[in-house]
Amino acid sequence: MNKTTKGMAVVTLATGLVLLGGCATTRTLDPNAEVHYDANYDFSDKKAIVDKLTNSLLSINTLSQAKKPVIVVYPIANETAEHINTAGISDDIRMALIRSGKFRFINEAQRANIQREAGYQKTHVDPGQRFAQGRQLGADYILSGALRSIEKKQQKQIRLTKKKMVYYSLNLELTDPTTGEIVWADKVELAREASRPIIGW
Amino acid sequence: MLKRTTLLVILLLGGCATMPHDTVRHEFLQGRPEAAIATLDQQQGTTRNRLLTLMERGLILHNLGRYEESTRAFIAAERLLEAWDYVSVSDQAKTLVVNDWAGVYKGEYAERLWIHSYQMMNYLLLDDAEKAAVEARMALKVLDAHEEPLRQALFTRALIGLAFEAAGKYNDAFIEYKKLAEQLPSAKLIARQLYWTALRAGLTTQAEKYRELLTTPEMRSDPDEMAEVVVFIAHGIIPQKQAADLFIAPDIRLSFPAYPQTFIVKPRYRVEADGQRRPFEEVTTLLPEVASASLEARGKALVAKQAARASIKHNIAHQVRKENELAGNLLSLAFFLLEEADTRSWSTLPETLSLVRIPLPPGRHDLTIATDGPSGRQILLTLHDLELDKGQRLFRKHRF
Repeated sequence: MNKTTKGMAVVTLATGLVLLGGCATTRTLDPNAEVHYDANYDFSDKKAIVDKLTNSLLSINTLSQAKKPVIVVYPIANETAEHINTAGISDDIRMALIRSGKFRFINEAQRANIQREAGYQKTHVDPGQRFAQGRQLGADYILSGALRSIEKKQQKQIRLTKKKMVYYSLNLELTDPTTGEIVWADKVELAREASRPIIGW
Repeated sequence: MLKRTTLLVILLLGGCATMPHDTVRHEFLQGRPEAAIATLDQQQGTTRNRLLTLMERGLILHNLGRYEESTRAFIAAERLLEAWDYVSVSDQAKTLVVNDWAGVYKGEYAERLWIHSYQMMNYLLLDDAEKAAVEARMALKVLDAHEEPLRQALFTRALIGLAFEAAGKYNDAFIEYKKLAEQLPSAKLIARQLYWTALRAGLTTQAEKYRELLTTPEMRSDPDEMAEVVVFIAHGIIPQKQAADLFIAPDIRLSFPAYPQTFIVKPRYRVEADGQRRPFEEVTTLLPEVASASLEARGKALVAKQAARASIKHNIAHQVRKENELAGNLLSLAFFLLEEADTRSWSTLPETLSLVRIPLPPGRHDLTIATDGPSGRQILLTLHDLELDKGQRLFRKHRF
């Protein structure tokens, strides 16, 4: 192969690589599919957590059955070393339980807005149109929890990839505010190991 | 060979050091932070300095009190560091043939720690103790990975303890305060934190060890019955790295980055509330000390790389000289001139960072913190009309 042909081959190969590297593709994922790019928390983990804990809550039969129990959800504490939006977990659990029709929920996040609206209506809205105050539901139970993690990286040694192991646990509990008793508790554990190359381009 | 030489010269010119971050530092020092942000915005597309751009931006926004924006810049910096956690072949190749400026700047160990330090401050100032505690855990990973060079990062250690305390994680806070106490001249300096976090964590035996160190009524008062003002105080500006050259042959120069040796006076403080002297606790880090130790920790790797680069360049120039002496000599000169130490660093950091904690009774207070300014004259930070409730912890920050 002479120099010119060799040069053309190199240029063609380089151009091909550049073009392929520059091709952007988009595809829709099934939100129910389990997809992990690394060992860190992702949307598949949220789904697994919500499904397990919702099923567990729906199978409780020790709560008061006279009326639908009223639950207030307090934020799930993030005790990991990642910025994880735990509000997404509690929102999904609440939605699944509301849809089941077995529970009623107080909107804890809107309490401040409700008070603001009440203040506004008191001075600006026709008395006949104002919503009645002091009639909010009291919670029969408080739902709260904590997300924790333990991370372990592979020891430093001669190797081509480095591994990271992450363990997550979400503990959720239902507390009777009258007695302080925990009437239900469950947890979900997830563990994953991911390896990535030490050397890259 | 001439074509290859030309290509190499073009590549070399790409490694020429240009430092818009010098402009950022200059604008910041002149009291023009908005201009500094505008200069940084112009650098958005530069990958090799992207981390620096984000760190500078995060700090300047923090200084301006734009904490939410500051946290976003620092989160982007944290994500970059995670994404760059591998050895890049292309980067190494560039830096071996040109100089370290041609490569991506990945930050010194100390700078990575200060990203989390500023994040902890941001979240505490935003009254989000939970996120501050998340950053505390991230900071601990950096401290554990680089224990020796970061040993004197006392401010960050105290901040980690404070973040855990604010998030109600008393056991974690006590552990960090114990580690901090080992680095301080005396545990008495943080006896209040040690005693009360141990007690709240249920470690009564441990707490008893520190009870006798509580010498003032403020230290002995239950924090739930008192209030506290916490001030993050920054002084001055960190010196920039400089290049130190070593000539091992007339045409071979090695150039190493180093922080200049400077004499730093640890700031002293005096606190008055409503005209009366008040006791307080203070923990300070001298940032140049930690930065210097952090750079020295990379010393062996830097020397090895410099030596490898010198050898590669010498061989390339020698090969070119065999075919064309003039081209070879010009290339050798270009290599010599371009051998510049990578003196990039986070240039808007302060010279010292102090964590000052002032326990006060609940109520309304006017607070004055006096400290040493340049040339030894006293400068004052006054905080008026502070309304403090029982158990409240109020966060403030100031940079002199």
